[in-house]
Amino acid sequence: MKFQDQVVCITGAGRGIGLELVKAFVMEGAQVVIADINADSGQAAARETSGTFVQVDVSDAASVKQAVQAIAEQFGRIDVWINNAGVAHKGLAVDLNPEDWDADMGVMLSGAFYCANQVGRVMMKQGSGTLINIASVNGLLAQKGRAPYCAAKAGLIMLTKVLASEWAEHGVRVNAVAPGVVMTDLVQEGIEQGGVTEDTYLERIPMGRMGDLREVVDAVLFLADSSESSFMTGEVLRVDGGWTAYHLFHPFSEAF
Amino acid sequence: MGELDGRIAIVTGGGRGIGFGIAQRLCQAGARVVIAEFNPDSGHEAVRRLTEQGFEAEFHETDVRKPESVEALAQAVRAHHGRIDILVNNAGLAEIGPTETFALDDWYRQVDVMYNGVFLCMQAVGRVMLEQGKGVILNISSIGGLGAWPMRSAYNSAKAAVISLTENIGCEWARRGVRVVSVAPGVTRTAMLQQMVDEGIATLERYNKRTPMGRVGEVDEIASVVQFLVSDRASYITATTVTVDGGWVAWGNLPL
Repeated sequence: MKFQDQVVCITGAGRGIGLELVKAFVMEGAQVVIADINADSGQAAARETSGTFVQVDVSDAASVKQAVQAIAEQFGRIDVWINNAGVAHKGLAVDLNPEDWDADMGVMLSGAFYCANQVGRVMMKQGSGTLINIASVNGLLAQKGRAPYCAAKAGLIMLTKVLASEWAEHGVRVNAVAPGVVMTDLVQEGIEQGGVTEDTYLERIPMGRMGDLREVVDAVLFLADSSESSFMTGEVLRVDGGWTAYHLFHPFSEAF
Repeated sequence: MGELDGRIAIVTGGGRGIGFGIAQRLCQAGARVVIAEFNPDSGHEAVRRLTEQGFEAEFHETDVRKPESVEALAQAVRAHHGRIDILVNNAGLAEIGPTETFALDDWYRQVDVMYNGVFLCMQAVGRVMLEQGKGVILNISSIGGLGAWPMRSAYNSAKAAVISLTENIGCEWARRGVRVVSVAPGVTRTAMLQQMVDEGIATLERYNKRTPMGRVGEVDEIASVVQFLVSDRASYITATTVTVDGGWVAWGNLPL
């Protein structure tokens, strides 16, 4: 098993991509910490996967500090930390409330920093470890109606590069994964609520299909595995079916 | 049991350096490798070393600059093995010098091998893969293709072209089952690097200092990323370049 006895912590792990990551790391022998703000889904995930639930509000620096110290104390080390927690208010920039902006930034950008700020100390002391940020193609290309999400993810991508630059000499790698459109509850909800239609997505994706959660999980496992990605740090791995390369012109049927 | 069991792979410039490392890694994962080499000595030597380890490998003399040579390679591999699953465009050379006095022969050789050659191989092998409805093309680019570096206008612009080919052709073929990805290595410990050090063109200390990880990469650290990208684990990754450079490109290169 690839991650036998390693301590792997995932924020926002109660559902979606986070929960899939928990299952995958448990399968590979890791001791997994499910760090989530929601006790109900976090505890349910822990029961389902034999992970350990730790309640944390990543947008609260004090809560993060307490959680990271508790984890480090209980497990003695942290080998992999994955910043996955996300929330996203949708709406045109002029329609959004500043509080919505603050909330999204608080979880996805400040939250990732608060975690890095604490986890980095543990990993540098160990002289090993890897941090993985779940970014998005929306951090690389603008999308209308998604100002906080796009800006937070773009910020997370740059945070990835700064942390990688600072921690490389201490044996700690930092990378990001930028998934494209993956069929999750949130995407499904958006389609049902009459946002972007499924066909609009499919036409825009060079591969002509949405990504599978498993395909994102495999990319994260690859970046977490130092026998495979030992010389990679500061990289944003796009798992997007070609999405970010394909922004100049579309659709395919008229691409001449 | 390897994840590439039974796959037929072509590695151009597979006789030595990163190309040989990739060929070896693909063999270890179960693939059967065709070393497509310009130099028969290093081609035969590579096959001898691989078969000595119990792997299946063969040599095909190839000049990637010549359309008929590349077409003959594609047809021979298809005729012999019935299919081509993986193509690694690795063949390269480095013509280095000041632009204003750069010999035109050097410019043309650089562009011929590393830009035209990659296009020709993608075209010839791509036709076979499109017919199969399946295949992966992996182009070795370079961090040089992502920025400027004195004395390297020919090499770096040719590598930038490889990155662009990856995106353009990756999108063009995404719906037809053929993935196209690129790996951009940083400075890697190879015989070519050693030669440059010996000739006084390069100094390892400077490269180490420029790299956040404080060292150059090892060939197998590039090859392990190639293995991931050509495997089914990367099934939603296409039209993108993955940097494997110890943080070189992420860091803006201003000392603390």
